[in-house]
Amino acid sequence: MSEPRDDFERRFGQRYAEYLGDGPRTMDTRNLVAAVTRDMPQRAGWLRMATLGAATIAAAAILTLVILAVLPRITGPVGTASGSPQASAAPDASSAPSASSAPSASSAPSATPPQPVAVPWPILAPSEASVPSSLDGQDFAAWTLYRPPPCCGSLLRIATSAGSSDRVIDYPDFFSAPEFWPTPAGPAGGQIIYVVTEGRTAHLRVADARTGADTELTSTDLLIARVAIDPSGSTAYYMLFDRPTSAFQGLWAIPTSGGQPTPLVSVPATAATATLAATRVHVEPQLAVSADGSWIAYVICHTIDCEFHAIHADGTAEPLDWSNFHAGDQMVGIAGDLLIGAAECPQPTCDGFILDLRTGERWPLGGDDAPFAPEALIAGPHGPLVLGESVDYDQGRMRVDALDLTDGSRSTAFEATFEPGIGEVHLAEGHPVLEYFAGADLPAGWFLIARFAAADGILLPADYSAATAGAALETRLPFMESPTR
Amino acid sequence: MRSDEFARLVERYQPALMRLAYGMAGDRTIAEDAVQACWHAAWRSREQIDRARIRGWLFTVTANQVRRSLRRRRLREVLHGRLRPPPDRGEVDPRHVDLASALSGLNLRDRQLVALRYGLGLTSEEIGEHLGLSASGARVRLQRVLLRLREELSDE
Repeated sequence: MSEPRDDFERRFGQRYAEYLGDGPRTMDTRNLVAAVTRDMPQRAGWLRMATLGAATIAAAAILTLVILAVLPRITGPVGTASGSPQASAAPDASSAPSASSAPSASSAPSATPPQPVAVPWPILAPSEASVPSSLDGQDFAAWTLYRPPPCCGSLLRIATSAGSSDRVIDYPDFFSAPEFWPTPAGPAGGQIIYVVTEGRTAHLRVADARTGADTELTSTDLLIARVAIDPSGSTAYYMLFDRPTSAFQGLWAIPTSGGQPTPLVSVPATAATATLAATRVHVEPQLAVSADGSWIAYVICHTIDCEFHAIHADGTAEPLDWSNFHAGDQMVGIAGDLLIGAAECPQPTCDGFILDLRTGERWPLGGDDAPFAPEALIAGPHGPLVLGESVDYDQGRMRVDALDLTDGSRSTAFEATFEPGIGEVHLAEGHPVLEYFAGADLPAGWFLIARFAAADGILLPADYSAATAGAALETRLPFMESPTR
Repeated sequence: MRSDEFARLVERYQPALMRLAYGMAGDRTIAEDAVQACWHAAWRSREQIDRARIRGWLFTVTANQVRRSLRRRRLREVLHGRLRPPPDRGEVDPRHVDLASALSGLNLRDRQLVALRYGLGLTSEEIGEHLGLSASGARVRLQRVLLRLREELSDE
């Protein structure tokens, strides 16, 4: 079927065809088929690597071994991730559904203590929090969503570290069965909010990790595009969209104990939200609740621009200009009145940003000289900490930096090594890009780490652990591991 | 699926997948890796894949692999939170530098849209089906992307 084209489109199409024609090399499909059907373990660049020769690979292996042997002495024995869960940093990991005790490191990874720095954004008042030195005796809830390659559906595991509840909800048929979408929210107060999207119906459900109770809160033929939960775990929030038109149908709240949903933002209700009800070509919504539950921020991005709104928990809003939130920006979290966001950019490292929800002002998080790409927001010993990870895939090194919102100081919170091509280590919680997700209501100062292992050519989360910012403690969390199929 | 059937599948779709991956990534290495990863996943999942939907499956897996690879490339450039120069575009033919630059200004989803339309010749209906849009939605979005490209490609 041909479609009308204007001059520019015709010329662009020709140029684009030339561009593609000059780009990809012709590949020998016979070798490709032979390699694939021999079930060769796939890794990034494996076919090309095979041509490098055994000597190069052997040299790389030796170099890797040397690095693995030497690095712990340099950085502190934080951890080595390999392709197998057994090679976790935690030597005493057990299969019991509890947190294994703190195993590994003896010294803080940061050689120098964090120093307060001048920052342009308004710093938050310190708030002391007790950071447990280990997770022994701590009881916290967690969930993991395991999405293997598109053959096998999804597995949602809901558990507690004390083992009072450990259940798996399994939808194995990728093509026709229900899907856990969007990403669950929580835990908060032991509650996890999740959605089962089945055909044209979305079921909003709440699971209590401690009791095992699993209740449907509401269902709708509209699209539930994002969910969130307040810090106490008493209220679930969700964004609705019309399926055929992608038009926003409101931000709704519902008690997790049950009851009727109520609209926090109705559409169309006010001039401020009327545009949101318009038909959209494509929408990418985001939803976040502040750490104290007082702010709810939601974003609706479409092709090249975004509509950002921040309201109070009672549904009231200040009439501010929110044009400072751009397409490609991602909300990481809200601390006090400050929204912390990650941005897209052409550079390798994109600086994050802080948006003051009282004024709509925006500042770069790290600045041009020291950009900081945020990925998670946690409670620290003195106040909120923003976490960002840096990964050197060639050397197999990963580092988590922490930015203290109470004084602008930055420090190394965690370091780990991994075997390039075999495994990877990442911050697990709230990761905006990776396809695998997890959540845990860890005590202050602790955050989630996921170790990935290559399986069937794709990196899958093999095991999880919790680490403390700056204290170099790491505890494996075997109860969060995805069940084997 | 036998290996000879798989080979025919590779023969048939390999060029299209390479165009899609290169159109999205603008990088030969990433494109090759993404397509190889896709074929590996296809072989491993050969008994589960719905033959009637194989093309969409391949396109989706390839596009997802490109996304992952681009993220890895970005993170690979980062160590200790310091900014390094963006990857050079030395591999781009000088004739295509401005086009590559304009494309790099699009987000990945829009690059995917452009690749599906102008690299693979899909209709708006087919693109909409692939991206979860209506046909008219795909057309409108494509027009927006073209408007943006027209601004970037000033010589046009």
